[in-house]
Amino acid sequence: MTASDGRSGVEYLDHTADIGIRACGPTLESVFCRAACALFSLMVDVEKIEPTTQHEVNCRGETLADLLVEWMGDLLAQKDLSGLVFGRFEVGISQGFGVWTLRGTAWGEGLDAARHTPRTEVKGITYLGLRVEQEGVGWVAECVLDV
Amino acid sequence: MMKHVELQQVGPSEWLLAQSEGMRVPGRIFADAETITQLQSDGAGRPEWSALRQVRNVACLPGIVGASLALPDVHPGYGFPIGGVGAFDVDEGVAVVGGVGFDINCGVRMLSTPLEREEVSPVIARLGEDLYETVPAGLGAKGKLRLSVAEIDQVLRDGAAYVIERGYGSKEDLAFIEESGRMEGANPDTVSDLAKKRQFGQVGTLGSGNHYLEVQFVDEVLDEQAANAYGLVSGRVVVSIHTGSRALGHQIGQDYLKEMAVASRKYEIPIVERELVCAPIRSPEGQRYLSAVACGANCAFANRQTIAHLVRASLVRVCGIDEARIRTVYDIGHNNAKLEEHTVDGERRRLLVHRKGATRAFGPGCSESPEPYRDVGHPTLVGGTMGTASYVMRGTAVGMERVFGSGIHGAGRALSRKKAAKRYWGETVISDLASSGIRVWAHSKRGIAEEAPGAYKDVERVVAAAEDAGINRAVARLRPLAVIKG
Repeated sequence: MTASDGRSGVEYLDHTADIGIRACGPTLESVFCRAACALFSLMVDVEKIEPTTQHEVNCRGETLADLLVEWMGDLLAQKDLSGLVFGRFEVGISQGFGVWTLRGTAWGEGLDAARHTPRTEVKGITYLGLRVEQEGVGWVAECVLDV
Repeated sequence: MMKHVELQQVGPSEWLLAQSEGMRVPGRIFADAETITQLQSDGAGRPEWSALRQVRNVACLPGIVGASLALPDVHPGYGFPIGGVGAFDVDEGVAVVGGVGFDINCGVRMLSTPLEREEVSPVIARLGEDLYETVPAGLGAKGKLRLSVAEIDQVLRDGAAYVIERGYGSKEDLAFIEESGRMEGANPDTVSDLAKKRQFGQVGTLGSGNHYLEVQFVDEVLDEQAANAYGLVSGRVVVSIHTGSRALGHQIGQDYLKEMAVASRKYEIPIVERELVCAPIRSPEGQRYLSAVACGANCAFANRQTIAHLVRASLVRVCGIDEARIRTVYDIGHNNAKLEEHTVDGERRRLLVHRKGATRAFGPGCSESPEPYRDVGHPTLVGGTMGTASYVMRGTAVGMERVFGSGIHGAGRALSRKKAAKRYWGETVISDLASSGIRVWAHSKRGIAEEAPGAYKDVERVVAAAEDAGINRAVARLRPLAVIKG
């Protein structure tokens, strides 16, 4: 399990219409947490989110890249389903029988426009330039978000 | 930087990307030289983000007819370029998720009013404030229309007509909405429960990003005959609403990127890029996807209809005009895939036309246009930027022949959101616009910086390129008075 509640290790990339994110970290789990944090940082000021509510995520993917889309897609949907935005994440990732599995927890609270400084809504997680790879001694994840 | 792509200029604002390995048809890009230069340098070390490469990838898909097209507002998208048009033979072609995208049937509704600009200017602050309070916008905003699962299904099946039944607008609006506000073949069973649940509170919400609500005036009429048909008069006030299918469309896109990846493998269609996953149009998977797209499109029609009703109420409240005199000029989407008939090499063919960041633009004489517009062709609504102009255009006979009756949808971005947010400051953009007589109400200052007028191509150039190529014709130029952003 790796937890992340900061935006370190995240870089936003220049895509003309949408926005790319690049998350780096020492472990696979850390880049998943940082990518999630980057997703919510586009929409709100994550520093102002109180971790009062927790949401559990269980998802699977054939590849690590698919798993990243599943993880971020689940969290993004929560914004509409329960009105939650998240700022702290913890995940565990395992592989078995050719499938990657993620068990994760996100902590956050109901979106409060007055407190959370709303920014731009993310519509979807695209597969454009999507990659999750080991690079040097750490890991890197990149994807483009439709905004 | 991406490797230079060989393009040959073959006409005014028209470039040919010659057929090479893997391409079933050539690419054809309608744009001015400046846009082509920018497209060549786009990508910043990521060739897969290049719009030219996206034009080429689309040309590789099975059953594509004529050419993989890009219109003058072309810029990088995902899968298809934004401003991309791809027509596929119904028997041999495919339905492609990236040809529609996440915001299914995102589009523009335009309302005309009997008000002169001079009548509105003194009350513009009150009107802007009222619209800002009345129309839910921005991240997390909820609509006033709360729906059950069964009611969401009705929205997906019946589109704008359903919300009219619920009291949002009048039946007269329907004749002036593309597809009469309801796409055929929308089966709600093709849409996931998750997509429906995400939409519960979102019918009648504007969203954020490049979505907007603008009070504008007709700055200049450029085509008298068409402007007369559309009821556009120089100096009169109109309102434009730019939004789409909200979370429902987004989830349909997300769901079908997975489903169609399976279908692509099943039908052994080589996938050059993951966003171009597809299925044969006549296959069960292809039909299911197109039905879900129709559901998303109907949701977008219902969304804009609901917001149009709220806008009318605001105009009545603040300007004291008769609601019946606020009429729908047109409502047209720019992310869709539609079955249409076109003449290709002298032969009538049934095609599935994908338009990603492009509108339908059927020229004079087409029966799909509302009856009063038939002689001139229906309007296309071209969004500009907060600080410049928007345009009403129309299709042409040349456009029917060259681009399957398609039209530009906006100025098209020139700067990334990251660069725009670094270069501009929301508060400054708002005060600069105020000094040129444009009032802005925004739910997010960061969003304003990302959407600063300087982040977009010059809309005049884009319109000029469409006219040079002969594919669209300008009818009227509009300028903003008040802008509401999510």
